Amino acid sequence: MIAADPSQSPQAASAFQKLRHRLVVASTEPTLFVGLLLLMVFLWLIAMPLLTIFADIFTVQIGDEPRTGGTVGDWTFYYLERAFASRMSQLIFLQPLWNTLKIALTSMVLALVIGSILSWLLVRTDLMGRGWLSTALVIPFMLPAWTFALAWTTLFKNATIGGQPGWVEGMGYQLPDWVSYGAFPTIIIMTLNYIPFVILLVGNALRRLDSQLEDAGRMLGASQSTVALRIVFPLMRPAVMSAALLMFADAIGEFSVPYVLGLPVQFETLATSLYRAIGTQQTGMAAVFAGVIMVIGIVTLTIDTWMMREARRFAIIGGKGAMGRRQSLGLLQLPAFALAGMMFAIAVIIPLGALALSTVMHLPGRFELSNFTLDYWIGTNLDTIALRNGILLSSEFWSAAWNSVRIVGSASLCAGLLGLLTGYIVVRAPMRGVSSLLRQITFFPYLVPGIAFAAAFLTLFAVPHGPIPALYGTPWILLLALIADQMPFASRAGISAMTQLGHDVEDSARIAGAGWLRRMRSIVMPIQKGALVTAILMPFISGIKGVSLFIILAVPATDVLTTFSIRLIDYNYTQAANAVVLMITMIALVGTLVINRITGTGLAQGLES
Amino acid sequence: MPQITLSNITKTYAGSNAPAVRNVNLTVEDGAFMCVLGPSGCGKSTILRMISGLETLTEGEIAVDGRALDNVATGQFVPPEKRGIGLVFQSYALWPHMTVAANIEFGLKLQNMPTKARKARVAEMVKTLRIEGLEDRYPAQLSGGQQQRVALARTLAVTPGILLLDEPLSNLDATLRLSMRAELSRLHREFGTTIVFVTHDQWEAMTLATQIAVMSKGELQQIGTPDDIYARPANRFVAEFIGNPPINLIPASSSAAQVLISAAPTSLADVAMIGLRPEGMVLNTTDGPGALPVVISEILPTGGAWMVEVTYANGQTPAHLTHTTQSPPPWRVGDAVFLHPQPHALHAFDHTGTRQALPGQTTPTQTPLLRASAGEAL
Repeated sequence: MIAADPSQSPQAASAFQKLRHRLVVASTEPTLFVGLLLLMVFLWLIAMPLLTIFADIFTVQIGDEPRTGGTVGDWTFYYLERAFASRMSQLIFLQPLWNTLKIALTSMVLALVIGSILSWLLVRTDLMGRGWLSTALVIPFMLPAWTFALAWTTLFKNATIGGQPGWVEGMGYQLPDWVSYGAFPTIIIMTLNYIPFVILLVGNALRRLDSQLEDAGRMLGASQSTVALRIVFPLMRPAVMSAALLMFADAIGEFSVPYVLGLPVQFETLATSLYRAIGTQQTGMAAVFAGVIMVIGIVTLTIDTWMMREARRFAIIGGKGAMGRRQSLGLLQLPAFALAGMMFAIAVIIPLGALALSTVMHLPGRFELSNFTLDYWIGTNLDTIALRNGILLSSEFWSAAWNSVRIVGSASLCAGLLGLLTGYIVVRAPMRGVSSLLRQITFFPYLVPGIAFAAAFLTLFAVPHGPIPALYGTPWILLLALIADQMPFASRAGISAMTQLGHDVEDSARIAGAGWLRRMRSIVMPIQKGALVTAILMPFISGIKGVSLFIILAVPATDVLTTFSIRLIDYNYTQAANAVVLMITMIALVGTLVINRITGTGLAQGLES
Repeated sequence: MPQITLSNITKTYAGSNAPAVRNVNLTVEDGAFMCVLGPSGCGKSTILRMISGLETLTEGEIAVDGRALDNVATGQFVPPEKRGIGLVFQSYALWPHMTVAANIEFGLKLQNMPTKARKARVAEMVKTLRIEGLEDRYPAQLSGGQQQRVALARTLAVTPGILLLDEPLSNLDATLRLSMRAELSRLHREFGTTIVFVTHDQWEAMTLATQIAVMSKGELQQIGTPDDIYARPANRFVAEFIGNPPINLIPASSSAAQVLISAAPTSLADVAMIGLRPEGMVLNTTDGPGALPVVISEILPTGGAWMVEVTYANGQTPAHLTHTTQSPPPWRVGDAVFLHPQPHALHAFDHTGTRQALPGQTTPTQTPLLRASAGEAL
């Protein structure tokens, strides 16, 4: 008996019938509907603010009517002209641009060189103490960058701007301005902050590089230098280039370090200029700065994405027997250990130590018993104008801390849930367009430095739009900006978790008779508990230590730890500021360790892909 | 009682031009134990998923007892959670965060069964599938065989009228397979459920099913009893796919084929290929009509049976054939013997690959076209 009988050829369903059938099928599953809803939320939270920035560049802003000769909302090239081609360009735009590029490129190159050497030492040699060193050396990565800027001023501040001098001046040495402020310290701090990043990315690539590949080269008669040049280097190039570009993109938008170190000598970067423009109500110019930062960020990361795609072409095959044979350092053992140890001292011990010590000393740099005090932590009735109690006893600190935890916490919770949901939709959506659009739009804030993003939010939500009232001055604008800013991490975590989940577990629940909500509640969420915790904690840590969003969007009513400490710096309450920063650092550090414990993976995995 | 009807069903996945399943018609009678058999990628799992509702149709209709579950033309679709069909996944798909008991209980909870009855039902299922003592374990703590029983228990707990099994035995080792196979037969007898299972393993299909539907490249090749499929393959694909070692195929134009077929009273002009089952031949030293003079080229013991490779070198193109026997062959490599085909083991295929009945042979059993009826359970 033959089954396929050609005479029984069926009548094909018409296009209309097929469409109707698809709609009927889609209506039994809310996935598509939820996906479209999410898409709308992200268009509003992410795409709209960024588009507003670009629109603001080309339209006359409030207060600029006389200068531009148009009315508010008119099309104008005034801002672009002012930035690029006016008598003021050099001062207000080109100099900051040049400063930005200078510090970004220099710190990138320095971090790359030092970081690569360190990661080679850690991964491919028998360096002593490499076990704990490989953890110790990435600690700076978990700390806010401006911690180091503060440590620098604690140590090296000179008399130029008054207030308490740094330790070095306290000991009686005069320091020139270029050591204390501006490009030089900014580059050093940013280099220190990026080195762990290189260690993680390049170290990971080195670890994956099977030493059998090198052996194979040697067996075929290649010399050691040929192996290094023709085998190791090409295989490492993607990781190195990727680290370089990611650092560069991050450095372009870096705000806190140049803000702390550059202000006293009018050392401006694009990010600080943007902040200044917002502070002086120059919305149009702020849009230009934000736009330029965004464009540089987008271009850099597009290059990175493109290169990573190229790199996949020679993904290393095998990997099962990835053997990491270690090279003996021999006589170089001690110098190498000294180098790594020194890096640890410079990047972790000295800055954190200086900060910690400074909070228990009346006068900087004077190591006498009478000079030590716990007043700045737990003192009462201090002889200061404001902040008369130690920070642990001041209500301002605790309300800022509570605000931080409340705002960042709820934003992270939302971001984590949205991230997981995004992951679900991306993996399950019946329309491929919806999932790729969602994937891209949630990743987009990654291309936009925080400071530009904050500016975008300010422009869009400062005024009422339709049913949405003006949000400036409320915690809502911070909350929304934080959610949007953290979506790249949250959605990445969600997507990778959902990709690993697989269809079957959910399909079997469908077969058992569970509808969508029930499956989410009883199957998907419980299984993804760990991923959800990560998707919430990661944004939380980065939010707690972040500066850019808060400094632009927070007002005294929504004071958080970071803005509180920045304000203390501005008013020269050095000890108190450092104490607050240490508290932030502690939260970030503990949080990171908790994530590592929960997920069992290192930081490096999260950085890749 | 559930009877499943697939009418002209076609499935084309998005982004693919070739349909995964093309115009399949199949009726699974109530209480049948039907196997869909075919090589991997032939569309058999897709058929199972379409019956369960996890995949939708591109064309055609799936109905149970005349009620459409999925019909493209009329725009009907019942989502899987409302079909009440049981499906055991190849990967078992147990919920990793629930204990064995919770896994079994989940479906009952969804049916709002009272707690007491639920517990009783779980206990009953645990006993039936012989997984007592594992109730509080998590799936990760179970062996493959235990996981499969839990998957079965979970599905059977809600007493589905239709049970679908996706490669039910493929992840098990040889001993477990035997006991699970017996278990499935027993369950079929006890529950009287209509069972459809898919496999690429002919042995599994032959020993379990009352009816087998053989598929290739998305199309149905033959439906019949295991005996039908083996003894009266509809076409060359079925003949080649069933049987181990596979059937010997010789081009009809070769001199070896001419000799083999010469015993048949009439010659078939249309025949393109001759097939001969390895066990359907006798080797001895006496010549006779239809006997093929061959030389022993290899003797391979397979444990209780022997595979004898022979070569016919008289014609222009030498022919290599495989013979299997249960008794130790008295030959040595290089011995010249005569090969006598048994008429029932000889198959002729025309140019399209369709089997032509040789004189004295019957075509496949004349059940109503496209019907697979319920047979005796094993």
